[in-house]
Amino acid sequence: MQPDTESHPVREASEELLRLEGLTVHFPVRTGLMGRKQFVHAVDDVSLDVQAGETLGLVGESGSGKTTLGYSILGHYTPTAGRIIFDGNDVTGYSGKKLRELRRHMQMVFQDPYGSLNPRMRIEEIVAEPLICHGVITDRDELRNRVEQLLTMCGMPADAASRFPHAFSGGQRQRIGVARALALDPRLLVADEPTSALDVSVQAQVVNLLQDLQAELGLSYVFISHDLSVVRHISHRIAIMYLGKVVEIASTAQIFNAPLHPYTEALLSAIPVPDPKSGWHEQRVQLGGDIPSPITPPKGCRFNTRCPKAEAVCFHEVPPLEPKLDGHWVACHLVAPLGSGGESAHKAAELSRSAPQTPN
Amino acid sequence: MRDETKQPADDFLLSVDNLKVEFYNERGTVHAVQDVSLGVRAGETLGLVGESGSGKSVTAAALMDLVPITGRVANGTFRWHGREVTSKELGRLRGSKITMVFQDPMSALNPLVHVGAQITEVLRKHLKMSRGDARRRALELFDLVGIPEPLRRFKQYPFEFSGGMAQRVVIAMALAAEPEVLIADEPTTALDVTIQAQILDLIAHLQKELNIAIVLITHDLGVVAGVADHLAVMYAGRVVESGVASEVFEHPSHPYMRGLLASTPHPREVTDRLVPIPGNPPVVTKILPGCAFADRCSEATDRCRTERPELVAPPEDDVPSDRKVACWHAA
Amino acid sequence: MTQTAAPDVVEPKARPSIRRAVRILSEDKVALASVVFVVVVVLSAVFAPWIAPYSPSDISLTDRLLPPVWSDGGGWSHVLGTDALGRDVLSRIVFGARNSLLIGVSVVVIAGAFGTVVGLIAGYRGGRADAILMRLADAQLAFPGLLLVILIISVLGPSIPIIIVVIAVYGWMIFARLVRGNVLQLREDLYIRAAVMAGCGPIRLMRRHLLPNLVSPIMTQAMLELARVILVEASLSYLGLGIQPPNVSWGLMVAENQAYLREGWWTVFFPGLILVFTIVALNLIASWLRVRSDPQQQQLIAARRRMNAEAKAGEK
Repeated sequence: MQPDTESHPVREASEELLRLEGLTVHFPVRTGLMGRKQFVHAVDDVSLDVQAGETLGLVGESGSGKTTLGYSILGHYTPTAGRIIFDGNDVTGYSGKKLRELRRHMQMVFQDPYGSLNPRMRIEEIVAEPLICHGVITDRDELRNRVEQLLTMCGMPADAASRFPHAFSGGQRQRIGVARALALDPRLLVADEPTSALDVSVQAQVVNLLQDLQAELGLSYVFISHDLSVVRHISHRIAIMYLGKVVEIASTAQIFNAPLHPYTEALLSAIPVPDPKSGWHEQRVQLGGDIPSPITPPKGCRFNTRCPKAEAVCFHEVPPLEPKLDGHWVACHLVAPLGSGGESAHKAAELSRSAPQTPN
Repeated sequence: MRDETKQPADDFLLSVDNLKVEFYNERGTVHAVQDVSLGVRAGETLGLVGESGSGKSVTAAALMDLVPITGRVANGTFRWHGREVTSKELGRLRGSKITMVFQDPMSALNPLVHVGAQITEVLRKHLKMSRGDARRRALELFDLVGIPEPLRRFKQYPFEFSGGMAQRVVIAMALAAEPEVLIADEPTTALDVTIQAQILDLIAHLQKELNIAIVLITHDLGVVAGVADHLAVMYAGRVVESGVASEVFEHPSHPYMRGLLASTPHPREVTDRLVPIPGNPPVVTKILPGCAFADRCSEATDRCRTERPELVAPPEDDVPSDRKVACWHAA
Repeated sequence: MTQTAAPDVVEPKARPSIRRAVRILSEDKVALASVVFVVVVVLSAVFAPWIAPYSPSDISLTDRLLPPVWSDGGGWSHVLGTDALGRDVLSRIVFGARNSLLIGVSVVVIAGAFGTVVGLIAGYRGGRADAILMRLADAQLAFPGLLLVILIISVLGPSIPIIIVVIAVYGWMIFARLVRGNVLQLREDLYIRAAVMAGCGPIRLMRRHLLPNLVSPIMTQAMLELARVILVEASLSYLGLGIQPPNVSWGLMVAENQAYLREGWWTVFFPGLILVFTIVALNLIASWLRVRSDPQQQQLIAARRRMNAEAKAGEK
């Protein structure tokens, strides 16, 4: 099931694997010796869902909270508020044994291929670790076979098992990381910027690998990245985050062809295009200013300090994340909600904005 | 044979020919740069593109006499304004006539000194300005690089700046001594996409205003497409393709460049699947005969594995003079 | 369906082996000399009965205060001379090594093990456990260690087991602090987080992930502590609170013979000298270990070595 960006794939009625309801994660931070306790509003009131077998791209810049959200899904951080529903069960705030049990079904692929593998452990042990820790397989030979199977599935030679991480390149280590994540046969993989530290020619290998595995094993992914163009290739739907909040969720096609939120537009136009004739540099939406601090986020819509279209209401009221088009949710005061007649205006915008598609 | 590959050196501000840089570790020698010749002209941006192990950063370091102590420049003819100079002499120009901007602005700034002083230090040292003049000029530079509220920011410390703002400060410092060449090594890689666009804007704008030569080193084809006039693509310590940037993008000759383009996700175009280049970029510990890209190249033939192609103009007639490719199958 | 990459494997580092360690060691002549020296001392301590020419308590009143072999009146029968009771100085030094090392190594092993466990728990669990354990360590550190050791031993009596225990009780804190600091840093490493995600329990985490990375700093500290404890034992013995006659230790030799400094300088000089050499050697080994485990230093050294090799090859 590859993300089709020309037309929406009609997914067979799939079950909902993961749902977040109003998830909020705040970290306390003390400023100065006598400072009042302040909080980093890393994730604020995030609601989204991931269907079985699909990839949800989670995109944002620094301070967006995407990484915190990813880790919170896996139980690494305890949410300050909100719920996490996995496979129909409320797993919010799980810890200890329950959390370990839960982690059999959801795993992570980490960003740094050089840091995520213990340099003093052989590959065999690294990949087998989840199996060892959960006591799933105890027989040495069975373990070895499973490790070989996983490595082969991820495009690594079986004899890699007896070597150490330093013998491998970044792309290979990332494959090993994926093999480890798959050891327990999870249903959900949270991939935290899995390609950001890799060379471009190798990034594509890892992205393709993940796509293949999804097709083969029916995995669901939450693919976290700051790079919209990479996300495009692997995601069915994309959620754009800014300063702890989701500002837009839609299918990949909708995001790229007809983005509704001003931040999404700016983000899309800021992506460097590897084509000097595209003129992306001159045509892009200029976003001035810096990303505000998540300790003191702006009142009202958090994007108001940089939004080229901000109006009075944006400074007072927090825009709710609402469906504006079919399957297309946006948190913006300036986008008319579903059924209010604003659709025609936006359909027109969509037609004018979609660039002529290059045939495959 | 060699002379054909030399660039017309007359109008290069800064150039190097046949650069060779080696690094040493307990396992052996790493031939980081093997035989690189390139140069940059005033008012132009040279994009130096490559992945890890390509030698692009080491090349830039050699141009400023900043090769770390674990390595050395084994060979190379450096030229400044066409006149031959030693690596050391180039090093002396560093900070005044040749300045640089690196990836992480925070490590380029002294955390204990407020930023205003860091700029005035450059002005007073290289331009011999008085304290008052230096301060005035520093504020002007803040304005030039787009730092809002320059007076207030002048007294602040680096930790009070965001990544993008800090990079602007570093650029201001780099421009303070009125350099002729600016070397930017992955200046936006650590920055967010929207901030990256701002900084690239700034660099392009400054080049136009000040007519400096810029060497922009990056692995990101999108970055270089937006700002580079000329392009040099490096792989395993050598330049494999070079020429006018728009030309190279439009008609990429070398399979590596084509592979890079195919594996770079394009935000506007729809493609079903990214086409990676199989294998990994190498770290050259032993110089083998033949083309270094052969083992990853879909078009490699026996000749590619035994004979290394020279960087020469491609065989067609209607090709601009400075276009070069190192491939036996140059399209 | 599945990706097959063409693995371009970077040449793997040679597996650490004794031969390689010796080769690296031989580049630092000082460190090499120190290791050789310590090894000699340890071997003589272990094989004392076979190495020493005499028994340490062989009294011979006719051979009192004989000078070392190179002085007038000395001979090869007593290479380093004899003391006031005619006992062979060399043999007493060799047997003294036994006691000094026995106490030194026992203390370091006990204090090191205990301190490491405390540090692991404090660093890994953090929070209250950390606070309590560290306050305990701080409280103990606040007291002047040597004085208390002296006090306690003078109350309990100077037998070897008591000496070992008491010195160890005042020696664990430094290991705890060291390990805790390292664990706090390691905890943030990504592969630790990955192991936790994989379901790794705390025991396995400490054993397979944390400890292997702690070996190097612990070993370095252990060398330093060994040196310190040997000196503590020497001080105790000097004060009469350590090894008791007829047992022998270096500190005791110094104490017993200080009255004879004028007529028989060698009886004090040689035990003191061996003490100094041993301590200096252990410190130098610790220093070498520290340099060895610093990757940046290693890069520099390796680069220099290679550059010299290339230069030599070029000259040929």
